[in-house]
Amino acid sequence: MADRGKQYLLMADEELISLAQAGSAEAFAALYDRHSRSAYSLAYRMMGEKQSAEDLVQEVFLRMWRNSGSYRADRGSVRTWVLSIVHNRGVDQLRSTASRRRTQDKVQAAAPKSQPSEAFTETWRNSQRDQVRDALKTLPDEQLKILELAYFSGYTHVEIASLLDLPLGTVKGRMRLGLRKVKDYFDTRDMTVPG
Amino acid sequence: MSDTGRGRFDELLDAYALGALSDEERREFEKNLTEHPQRQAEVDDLVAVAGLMALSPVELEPSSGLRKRLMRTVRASGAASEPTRRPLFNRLRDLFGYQALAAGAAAVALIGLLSWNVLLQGELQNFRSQPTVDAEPRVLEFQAVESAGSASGELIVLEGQQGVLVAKDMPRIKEGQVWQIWVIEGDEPKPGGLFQPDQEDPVAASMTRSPGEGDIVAITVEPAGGSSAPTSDPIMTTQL
Repeated sequence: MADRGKQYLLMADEELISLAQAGSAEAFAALYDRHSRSAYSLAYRMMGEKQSAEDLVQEVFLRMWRNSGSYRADRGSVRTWVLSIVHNRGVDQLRSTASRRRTQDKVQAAAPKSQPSEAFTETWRNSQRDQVRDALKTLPDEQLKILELAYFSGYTHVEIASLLDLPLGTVKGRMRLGLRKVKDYFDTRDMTVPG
Repeated sequence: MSDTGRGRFDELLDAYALGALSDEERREFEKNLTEHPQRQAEVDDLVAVAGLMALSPVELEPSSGLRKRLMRTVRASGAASEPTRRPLFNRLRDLFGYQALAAGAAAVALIGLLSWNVLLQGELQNFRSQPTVDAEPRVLEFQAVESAGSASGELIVLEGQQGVLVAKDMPRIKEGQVWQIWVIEGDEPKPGGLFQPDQEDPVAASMTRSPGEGDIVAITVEPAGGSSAPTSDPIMTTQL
């Protein structure tokens, strides 16, 4: 049993997905151990509280367990797949009326936390995370804030314009500039966008 | 989008990549994309860039309880040797019967105890559109002992006498212990199911034994895995 556990540790995500698809709970547990931290970190950032974040992660991993066959390696890594499910389900939840009311104040209150001072005191263990954070650091606050409101809080561009009392065109422009700047960060350093 | 719709495509592209379009705009954008598949690569590229945002939050560790809950559900929902996993609802339906299970969902909604665990909630959603049932479930309130603090619970008795327990604010118990449900017929307590202390609060647990009229349903603390006979005093009881 222990040997089999070690074996799973050495397997690629894609192999574990295949085994999980065939019904291996142990392979699925190995996937959970690899990706739950990233998934939970994103979920927590979106939902703003522990219980909602854990509920979201549990839901996402159960979906993965039931639908592991829907993973397509040509669309990106398993981590990207997991995080995209977390993001999509998180946005769905945030956009429900009740959640929106509950989190609106929280999002606004949380905005300053996205500034580097807090996030950057963390010891980063993952170089890709470092790269991404470095890239985001290069964004002016007004661009970063709009990206965060869109990505983490599930607001539409129209809602963001209303929330920040900005013309819609300004919001669209800042989204564009922000994303292009992140892309340029990787392009100019000959770094690939982590997948 | 008129003509080739390039202008509108560009206008919506960034918000699409960030998931920041309304449903209507998203459909409009995706329709344009279907009509101009050569633009897909450009979209994929920007979606990947936007997806990097997912890596930026401060890293946090989920609780060990989450892993336990998840793996318990996973293992319960399909053994490794089982080639085809069956949805939980199908298994619950086999266990409770369709109508009784739907009645249970209605009862839970009715009494306002909305926090089934996520799995059960999701599965229940799947059949809320099913025909409504005639039979009303019975809801019985548990009486808690003083040492249970603010703990409270209700027993929902479904058609066919199947029981579902919903409890909240249960006191903390030690690692290696579980809550065990008992059905006491006369003077004889019989095991009626287990539930874990680290489940979401309120917790919903289906009973493995049907309580009969006049029976007492009790909850005690027992060693992990449960006991064949109670080893501690009941913390909550109710009588049918």
